[in-house]
Amino acid sequence: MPKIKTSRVKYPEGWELIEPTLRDLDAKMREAENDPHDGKRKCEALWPIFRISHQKSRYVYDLYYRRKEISKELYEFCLDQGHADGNLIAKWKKPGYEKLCCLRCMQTRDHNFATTCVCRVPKHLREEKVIECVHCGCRGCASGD
Amino acid sequence: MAHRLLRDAQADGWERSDFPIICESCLGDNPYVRMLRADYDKECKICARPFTVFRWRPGRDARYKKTEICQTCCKLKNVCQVCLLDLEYGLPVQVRDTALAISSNDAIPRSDVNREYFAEEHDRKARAGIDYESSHGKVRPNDTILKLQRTAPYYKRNRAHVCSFFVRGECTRGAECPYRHEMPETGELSQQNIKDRYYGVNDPVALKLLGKAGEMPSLQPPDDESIRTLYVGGLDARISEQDLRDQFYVHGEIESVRMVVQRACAFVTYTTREAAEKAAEELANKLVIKGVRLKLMWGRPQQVQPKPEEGQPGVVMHGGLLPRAVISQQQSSDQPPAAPPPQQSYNYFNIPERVHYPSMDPQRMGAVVPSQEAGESSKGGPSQLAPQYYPPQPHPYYQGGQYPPQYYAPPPHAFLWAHGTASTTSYAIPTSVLWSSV
Repeated sequence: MPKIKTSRVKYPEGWELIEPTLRDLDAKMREAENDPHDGKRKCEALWPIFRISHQKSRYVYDLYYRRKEISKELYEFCLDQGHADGNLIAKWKKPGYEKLCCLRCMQTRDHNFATTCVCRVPKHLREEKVIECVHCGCRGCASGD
Repeated sequence: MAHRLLRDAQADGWERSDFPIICESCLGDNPYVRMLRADYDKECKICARPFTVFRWRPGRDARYKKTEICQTCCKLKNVCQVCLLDLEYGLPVQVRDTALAISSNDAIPRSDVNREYFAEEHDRKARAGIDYESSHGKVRPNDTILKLQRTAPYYKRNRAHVCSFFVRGECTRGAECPYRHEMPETGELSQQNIKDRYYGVNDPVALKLLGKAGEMPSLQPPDDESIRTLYVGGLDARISEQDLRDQFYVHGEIESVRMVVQRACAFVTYTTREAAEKAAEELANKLVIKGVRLKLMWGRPQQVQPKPEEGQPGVVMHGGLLPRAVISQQQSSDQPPAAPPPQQSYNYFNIPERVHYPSMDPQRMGAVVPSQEAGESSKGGPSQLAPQYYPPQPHPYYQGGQYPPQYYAPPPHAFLWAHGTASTTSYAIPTSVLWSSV
């Protein structure tokens, strides 16, 4: 039989340091995925998914861009393995989007009248102070507050 | 039939429009409203044909509203597409039809195929511009309808619906819940049905309104024949004396119009009693100026409650300032002048007659009441210096919470007159008073 190259994951150095946290976050995600939907609204059931995904991406972003504790190789490895969302991190690098909650909330194509989600509006410009955006349950992700 | 797939938009009877036909209340107070249009989005609640649905938010604290019935149905009854109330008067269909004695009800069929056929025929005629036999907009408004109509937009109906979880006690959304956390209104009025409301049959709100209309009291002329003054209440900053004159001059010669801004009211005096009665009859429940509904009642003379110890000083108070001619005029009009000033100041502060507790008696609580003579002279002083202020200032218009306020023309005029015989032109107040008897 010809040699079949199977891909096997080769962990770069430094992986052992971040592996426990990532494993916990993955466990959290699995929990959120398996949660029953009782007592929650249809959209509300998805909110923990977005939240944990944000949390995971935030962890990896912090490690690489803020604290600079992991190498580029390890960072890209995390992105490839799906522990963080590269597109969301790309937005966090832009001014004004540092605390963006999810990619849907800022996509004007997805909203009526080509606006963004209400969670992108700073609190001092809003009329209702307490909101939970319908996409991801975000309470306000403008960079100001 | 509307259930077919859309091949030819117009022939199949599916309605398409560019702007909704809605009333002011439903459109909202925001001039920058953003509206979504969706062609053939829903079926009309009345005729079940697909039509263009418009959806918008009528103001900041409002829920989103959308058109519920198609334009064909709405034009048939001349109602708003959302609230199904008349476009001109803001009244339910049943009220408007009974008040104006229109009955278009028999013509509109209600059963399936008939209804669709009728709607399509009507639609076709309307598009072709043929004048169908609608009486809307051609009937002259009559009294009842003017009394009943809504004069200002009513935005309370745009509020969010009541949170049904809150009613059960289970609302977990807390502060971010967009629905109202109030108990729902129960009772007859809450069992409404859109078809009943549209066809004008068995509508509880309409029945209630018609009942109220039947009982609206017409303004009874008072027994005292000398009263020629009407009290107008509910004034606004926008309403000027000229507006009042314009409304009232039709019925007779106006002797005077006095506006009291602080009480949001005005007094219109006619030269003749008949003119006043005519005006009262005509305008009773229909007085609307600049969109503000005004209350019209007869002015009343002061309450006649002479107290002997106060009667004398009262007469003296006037007598000290007025020429005899004025006093005799007052006395001949048979209204003891003693009554008003001390009486009014007594009742102005709402001091009860029966004092059960020391706290009800201001004097025991520490109030200092000046003696009568000192009080009169202090009152007389300002009247000499400032003729345009009526010394017992609030009292002609407010007596201990009685409503409508009292009207008493002679003393203020008399006070003013005392200032100088030739100074009638120096007054700042509207001075169209005819000194016929002085």
